Amino acid sequence: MGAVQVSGHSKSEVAQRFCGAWRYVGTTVDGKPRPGRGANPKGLIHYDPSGYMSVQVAPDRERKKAGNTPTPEEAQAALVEYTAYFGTYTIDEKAGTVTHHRQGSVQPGDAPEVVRCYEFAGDRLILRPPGTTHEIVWERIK
Amino acid sequence: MRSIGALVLPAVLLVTSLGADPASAQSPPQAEVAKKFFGAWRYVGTWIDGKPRAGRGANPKGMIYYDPSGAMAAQIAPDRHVKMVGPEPTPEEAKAALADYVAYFGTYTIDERAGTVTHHRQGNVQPGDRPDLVRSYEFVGDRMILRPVGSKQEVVWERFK
Repeated sequence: MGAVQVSGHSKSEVAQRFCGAWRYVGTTVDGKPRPGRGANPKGLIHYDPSGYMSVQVAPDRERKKAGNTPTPEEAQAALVEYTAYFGTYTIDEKAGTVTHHRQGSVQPGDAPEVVRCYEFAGDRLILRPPGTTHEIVWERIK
Repeated sequence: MRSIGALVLPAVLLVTSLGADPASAQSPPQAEVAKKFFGAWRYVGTWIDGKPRAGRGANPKGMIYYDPSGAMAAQIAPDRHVKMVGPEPTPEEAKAALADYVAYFGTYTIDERAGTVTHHRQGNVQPGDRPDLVRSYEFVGDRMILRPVGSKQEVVWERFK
């Protein structure tokens, strides 16, 4: 299958490039900024040498709650466009893809696995859902 | 914030002197403590008064990550299945999905003298939370124990290997 388990000692050069934390730059669809996350969404993705990963993207908008716990409507608004999941990851170098195997996700109904084509360009990591014109761009945090 | 003498931004070892406190000088021990945080940790559990915290099910999962650059992220997912009828969560489904789920990220600073780490949240799935979270820290073997200051709560993490 060509999938590389990202653990153990003999990490490939590609696997090593993933390791560390990346800041969310933005998402484009067909070359245009993806709508729905406001002017300045923030986020972070992290690939650990142990084979674990986590990601979060927070939309740029105010998030309010009136009481101690959010009402159903406030909760619904809080979830819109917020990405938060974590788990393990595997790299298939031959296919040029990384798969996130989710163990937890704040979004109900998420599929357990996310496959992304990857490309490294300078300090950036570009992830593309296969078969789409989406580009999710990350920049290494220094 | 004025009482904080030694604010350390890990790795960069940016020491912020917020007052005129000469003790807040950069020193190697701070670097040593910061290094202990670096990396990813698996969520073991939360105890209140020695008893498991209710509300997250039998086997909640989570991880926390401290980057040498000063960035951090935390997530804890309760052990439960939230069902969704349609393609988007209804208000009630969203409330169930959000309950007891921890997901935030930002930067962190360490106050070695106070024995605390502060998470400065830039993003948080929970609406209305205040941006800063202060935790007393303790390292025991492969574990890191974070305690909300002044509480009997213990949040236990174990280093990924």
